[in-house]
Amino acid sequence: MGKPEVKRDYTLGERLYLVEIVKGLGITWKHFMKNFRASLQKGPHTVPTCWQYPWDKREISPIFRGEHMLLLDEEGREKCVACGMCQRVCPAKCITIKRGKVKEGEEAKYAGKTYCASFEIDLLRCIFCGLCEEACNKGAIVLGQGYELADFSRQACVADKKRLIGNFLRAKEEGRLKPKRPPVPVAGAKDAKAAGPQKAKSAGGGQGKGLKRGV
Amino acid sequence: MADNKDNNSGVIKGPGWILTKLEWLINWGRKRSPWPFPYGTACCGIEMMATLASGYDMARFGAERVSFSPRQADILLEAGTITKKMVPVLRRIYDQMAEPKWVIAMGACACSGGVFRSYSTLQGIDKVIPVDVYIPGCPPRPEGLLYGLLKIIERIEKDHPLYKEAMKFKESEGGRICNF
Amino acid sequence: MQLLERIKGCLGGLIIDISEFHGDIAVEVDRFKIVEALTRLRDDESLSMNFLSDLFGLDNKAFYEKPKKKAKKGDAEGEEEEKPKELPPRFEVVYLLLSLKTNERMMVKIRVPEDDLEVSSVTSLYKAATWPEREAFDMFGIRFKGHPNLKRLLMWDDFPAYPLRKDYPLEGRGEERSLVYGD
Repeated sequence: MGKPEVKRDYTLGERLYLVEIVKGLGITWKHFMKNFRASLQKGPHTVPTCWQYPWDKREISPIFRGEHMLLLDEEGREKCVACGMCQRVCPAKCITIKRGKVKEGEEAKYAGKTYCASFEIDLLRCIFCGLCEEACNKGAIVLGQGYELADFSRQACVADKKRLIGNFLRAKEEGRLKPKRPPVPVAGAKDAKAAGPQKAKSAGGGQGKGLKRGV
Repeated sequence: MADNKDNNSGVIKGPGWILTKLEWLINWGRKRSPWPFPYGTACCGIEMMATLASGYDMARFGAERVSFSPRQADILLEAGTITKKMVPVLRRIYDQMAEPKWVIAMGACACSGGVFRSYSTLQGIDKVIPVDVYIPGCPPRPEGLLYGLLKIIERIEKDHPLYKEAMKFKESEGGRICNF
Repeated sequence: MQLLERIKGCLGGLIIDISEFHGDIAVEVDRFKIVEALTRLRDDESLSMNFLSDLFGLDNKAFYEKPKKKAKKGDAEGEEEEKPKELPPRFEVVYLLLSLKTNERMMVKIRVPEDDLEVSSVTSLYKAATWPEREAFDMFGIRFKGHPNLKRLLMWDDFPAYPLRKDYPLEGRGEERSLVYGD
């Protein structure tokens, strides 16, 4: 064990040393010209010279986890039934929910039998892990694309129900809703058989294949 | 000189024209050079470096020189978890900064402790130093940090540095002979 | 297998308990003879455990309290109720050793009762033990006799409790209120 020995002799170019320097300078010049040409272009830059943030906002991934939103279904009713799953699963314990029962005549407003009277997310505690989204049975809470969350006070950083639904409406208007995720096949053969014959087959074929067929 | 003795007669009745123009000049200077003191203690520090580097280039807003000395810094950019043992250091650095100073708490840990509800983590740096802008996120995007910086600049613009000083002076005992 | 036999031959009568799990060998020795045991392991020609990769404390309180509750529920098993009365000592100190010569690892542990938390330090054998011993003192309150500079490593000096003990609340008792900020 020691340093690996180089058996071959150095070529003349390597020994001269100047050639390699010129090569390196060439790479520098290439990158400079690339950025220089890109900076002459108008409009949003495709080559990352410098993101001109407040004026030229960068496109972010559709699965980016930003500020939360509470979804409404097609009829405009609130999906959330205040089961408290998100509250329980949250690692930072930043969600507070108060449950209310739907009275007669309010069915057009809420989808379930219960609804959340208040739904508060302390954004300062939140670590945007997306576990609430995964835990939600009704698909009512989804992490959206908003990342401009800075504010002057702690109180302003607590997102209440109105703000969360507003986030959804804005995202819907701009067409920034997340693409629907394919259902994840349940691991383990027993569960798959219970779920149905199709899933059982796919689970037998291996996990990777099962994922593709499950879609 | 006779009416100057009367404290309630009001030597200063709101900022006048000269004061406003001077304040505009001072604010213009301040908002174009918010030099940050990078206090990166955890992963938010990496995102802060990304913001300072050429991709997002915080220097576009005047944060040209990252000041590693608190004496020359305007903004304390607190990025990361603060343990309770680190608190005296943070407090000392804040105290060492010269007066027009602002504090950005970046990320969940600095703002409120985040997931670390434990014996060793400070639950939000606003327990020891006043915070101007909170940036949620774990860590926030560079855009989020730039948005926070813009919020600070917005706050600097609305500030009345001279008028505030004058009011302080008026409220103090020496305020009786103040007439500008 | 070979390592197990070599350890047995080296330590001999010092071993209280020896176990192997997935190739990891754990040896339990008496707490008053830890220095002797580690000296033997280090100086033995065939073993030469000359590298202390880690040293840490353990609190088994929650681990020991579980069988008590179970025994209360199952009244039918009267025989097993009497066994957990004699609990093993609450704290443990674990030494992880590595032989740089043969690239083999082993674990030595000692048990420390709650009423007498004093263990002799191994800093005379391994210089690397200074900080981990300070950490174990900081977190569990285990005092190492013969340590050159035994004071808190992670928490501040005036911290009144030992935070990794199982009876200490996770979020603390608000000790930071007594912190002095700077001057």
